[in-house]
Amino acid sequence: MNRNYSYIIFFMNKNFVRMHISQCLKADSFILRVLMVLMLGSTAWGAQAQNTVSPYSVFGPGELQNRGFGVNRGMGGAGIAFKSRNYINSLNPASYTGLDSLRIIAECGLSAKSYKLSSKKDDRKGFTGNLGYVGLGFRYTSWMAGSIGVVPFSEVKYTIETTNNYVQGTEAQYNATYDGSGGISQFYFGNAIRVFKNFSLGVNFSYMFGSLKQDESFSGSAVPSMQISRYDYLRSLYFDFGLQYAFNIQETNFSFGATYAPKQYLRSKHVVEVYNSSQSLISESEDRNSKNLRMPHIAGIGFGMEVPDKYRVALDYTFQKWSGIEYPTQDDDFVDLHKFAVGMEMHPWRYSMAQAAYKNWTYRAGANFMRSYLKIGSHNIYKGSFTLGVGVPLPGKISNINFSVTGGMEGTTANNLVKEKFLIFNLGFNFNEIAFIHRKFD
Amino acid sequence: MSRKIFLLLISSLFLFACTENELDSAIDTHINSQTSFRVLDDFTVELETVLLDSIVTSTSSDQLVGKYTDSELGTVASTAYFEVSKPSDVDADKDEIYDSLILVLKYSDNIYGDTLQSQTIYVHRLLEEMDDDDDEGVLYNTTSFEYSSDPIGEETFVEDRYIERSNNELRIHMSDDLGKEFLTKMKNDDDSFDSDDDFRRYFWGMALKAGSQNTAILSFQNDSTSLILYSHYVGVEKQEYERKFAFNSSNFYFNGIDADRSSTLLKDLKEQKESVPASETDDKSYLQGSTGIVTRINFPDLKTIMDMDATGIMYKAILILRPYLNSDDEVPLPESFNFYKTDSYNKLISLLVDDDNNTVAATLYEDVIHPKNTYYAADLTSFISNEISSGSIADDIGLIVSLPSSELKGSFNRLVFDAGSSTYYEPELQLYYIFYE
Repeated sequence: MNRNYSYIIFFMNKNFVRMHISQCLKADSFILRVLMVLMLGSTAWGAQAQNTVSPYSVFGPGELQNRGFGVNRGMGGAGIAFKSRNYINSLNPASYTGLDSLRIIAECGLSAKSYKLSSKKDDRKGFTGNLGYVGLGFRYTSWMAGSIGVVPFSEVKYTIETTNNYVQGTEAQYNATYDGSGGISQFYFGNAIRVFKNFSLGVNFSYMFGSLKQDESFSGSAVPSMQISRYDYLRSLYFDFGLQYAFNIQETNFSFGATYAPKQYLRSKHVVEVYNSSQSLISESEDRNSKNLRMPHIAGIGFGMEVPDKYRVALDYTFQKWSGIEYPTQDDDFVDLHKFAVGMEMHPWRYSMAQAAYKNWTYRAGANFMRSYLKIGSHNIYKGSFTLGVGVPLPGKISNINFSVTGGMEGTTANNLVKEKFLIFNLGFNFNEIAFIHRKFD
Repeated sequence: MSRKIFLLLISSLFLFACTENELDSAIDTHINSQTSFRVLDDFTVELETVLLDSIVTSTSSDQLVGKYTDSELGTVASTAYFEVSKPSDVDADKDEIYDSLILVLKYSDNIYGDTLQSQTIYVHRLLEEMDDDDDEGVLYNTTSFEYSSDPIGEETFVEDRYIERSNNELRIHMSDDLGKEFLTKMKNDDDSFDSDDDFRRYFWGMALKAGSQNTAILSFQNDSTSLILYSHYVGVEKQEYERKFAFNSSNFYFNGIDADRSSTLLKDLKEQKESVPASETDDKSYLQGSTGIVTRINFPDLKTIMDMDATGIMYKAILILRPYLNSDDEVPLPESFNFYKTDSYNKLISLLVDDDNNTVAATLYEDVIHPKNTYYAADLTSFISNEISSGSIADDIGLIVSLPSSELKGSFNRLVFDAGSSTYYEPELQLYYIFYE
C-alpha cells in the first residue's frame, strides 16, 4: 500500500472545519471518491464562503463568483471553447465530453485574498480566504460524460451605515447600519453528449444552497434600538447550457463554445425577524417560496486555438442582461454586464522525466475586464485583473497542482465610492485516477 | 512528506480571521432601505364627559367642607362626616368645672373658590350610625346620614390661616350644653363612657356643613381633627384638664357631595352610561374630583390600522391631551391623571397598566410662558399594541380618563380638556410605526 493522505485542518468563522483531502493516487474505489466529494461539499457549505468584503456585495445576489477551476483561473477565467481533458473545464458543460476516458478526475481548490478597500475618505486592508470548489469528472461512454461538484456562486460581506434617514412625519433623524454576510453555493450535476464528431452539448442541473443574511439596526434618539434580520435560505434549482464545436486545420485546433443560462429565480425561504431593544424576537415572518433573488439571462461565447503540447489561447465574452432586474435593496437601476477574458497556456519545453522539474510545468497567463451590472449614481463599476499561473505535474504526470495569482481592481473612488485592489492566490488540485480497471498489484 | 508540509503551509493561510468595520464611503446613499419609521397621527380622538354614578369618598385623607361655584362645573358642596373616640381619661372629679368644648381642625392644602368672603361652618350631631348598606366597607360621595337640624357648633371666619393662626388650625366653639353633658356623664360614671362602643351609641359622630352663603371649599387633615373638652378643678392649686376626643379612623369617615350643574353646559349630565360629547359642551370635556366627573376618550377610526397593507410594528403610542386655554385660572392643573378600561356603558373596568404592571399616567408638560403649548402626554403603547395583537379593534374602543384615586375622592381638583376648539388644540394619538419589507 502506498496511500498518501494529507490532512488540512483549519478554523474559519468559529466553525471547526476539517478538510480531509485524500490524494488517493492509487485509490481504486469510485464510491470512495464520491464520498470524499460529498464530504468536501458539506465542508464548503459549513465554511460558508467569505472571500468578499466589498460593500458592493450589498447589491443584487451578492458578489458573483467566477466559475472556473484551477486551469481556468490560471488563464484569467477564459476557456468557454476548451474541452475538459485531464482536468475539468467548468466554464462550459459541453466540455465534459473531452474528459479523458477511463479516468475519474477530482478537483478541489482553495483561494485567499489580500485586499485594500479605499474611498475618498477612508481605507481598509485585510486578508481573507476560503475553500474554493470541489468537483468530480467522469465518463460514462465514449460519447457521454459528466461532472458533479460544489462551487461558490455568490458571496456577501459588508457593513454599511446610512445616515440622515428621517422618521416620516417628523424632523427626527436616525442612522441605520446594515451588516451583510453569507453566500450562495451551487451543487451542480452536469452531463454532456457528443452529438457529432466535433460537436457537443451539455447541461448543468444545479441546486443552490446557502444563506444570505442582512442585519439592519438603528440608532438615534427618535427610534427604538430594534434590529431587523432578513435571511434568504436558498433552495433553488438552476440550469445552464453549453455547446462546443472544434475542428483542425493542419496541426492547429480551433474551437468555439457558447453557454447560456436563462433568466431564472433563485428561490429561497425568506425570513424576516424583528427584535426589540432587549433583543427579544417580537415578530417573525416567513415566505417559504420567495422570489426576491433572481438571475438574468446569461450568455457567453468563446474562441480557442491550440497547438497541442505547445500553446493554446482562449478568448471569451460574457453578457448578463441585468437591466430590468430588480432587487429590494437597490436604489439605482442595474445595467447589463459585459465581460471579456483572454488567456493563454504554454509548455515552453517538451515534457521529459530527465529535465529540471520547472521545464515540465505549464505556464499560464490571462486578463479579464468587466463592466459590472452596478451603476452607482452616474458611475459604472468596472473590474479588471491580470493573472499568472503555473501547473505543476505530480509524479505520474496525470495529476497536477495549479497555482495562480490574480491582481486587479474594481470600482472607483469618484463620488466617494469604493475602489478595491486585490491580490488573489488560487491553489487548485486535480487528481486523476485510472478507474474501472481492476489492478492486480499495488 | 514535503508535499504534506506544503499543504499544511497553504492551509495555514486560511487561519487568518478577518475583522471588518465600516468603510466610510458614499455607497450608503445608494441603498434603498426596506425599512421606514413613520408617525401616524391623523386618528380621530373624541372626548366626552361622563358622570360616575358614585365614587368612594370614605377614607379620603382630607375632610372637604364648604361650597363654591365653579365657572365651568356649577355649584358644588361638600359635607364631611366623621366620628370621634371617647377620651382616654374619663374619670372626672365631682367638683370639676366645665370651661369649653372646642373642635380643632387642621388645614390641608387644597382650597377652592373665593376665600376673601367670610365662611361659616356648622357642626351637626349625627343621629344615626354611619353604616354601609351594601356591606362593601365603603361610603360614597352620594351617601348621607341624618343629623340634628340645630348645629352643635359653628364658626364664621375669613379663611386667614396664612396670616394669623400660627398653628394652621381652625378652632370651632362647640355647644356648651354638649360640653357640660359630656362632663356630667363622666362625673356620674355614666355607661356612655364605659367603652368605645358605648360612646359610639351615645355619640354617632358629626357632620361639618357649609353655610348657605359660603363661597369656598376648605380642606382639613383628617387625622389631626379632634374635639377637646377643657375643664378645671380648684383645690389647693388650680388644676386644668384637657380631654381629647380623637378622630376615629377605625370607623367610617367620608365626604358627602352635592352638585348643581343646572346652569352649566353639563346640565344633562346625569347617568354614567350617558355621556355628553364635547361637541355639546363648547369642545370641552371635564375631570372633577369628588363629584365623579371623568372624560371618556374614543378612538373611532383606530380600527383602520388593522387594514394597513404594509407590514409594520407599532412600537410607541402617545396620547396628547391639551387643557383648555386659561381654564386653570380658578383651579391649577393637576399634575397627572390615570386611565381606565371601559365598555359601551362607561363602566370603569380596570385601571390601565402597562406590560410591567405599572399604572399608566399622563404627565403634564407645562409651558408657563406660552400656555398654549401646555399639554399632557400619556404612553398608551401597551394598550394599543394589545388591541392590535387581539386581532380586531372595536368601533367603540375607548378609555376613561380620571384623576388619580386620591384626588378623585379627596379633592375638587379639576381639568378642562380642549376637544378641538381649533386644530392646534386637537387631542392627538400618535402611533410610532416601523414598517419593513
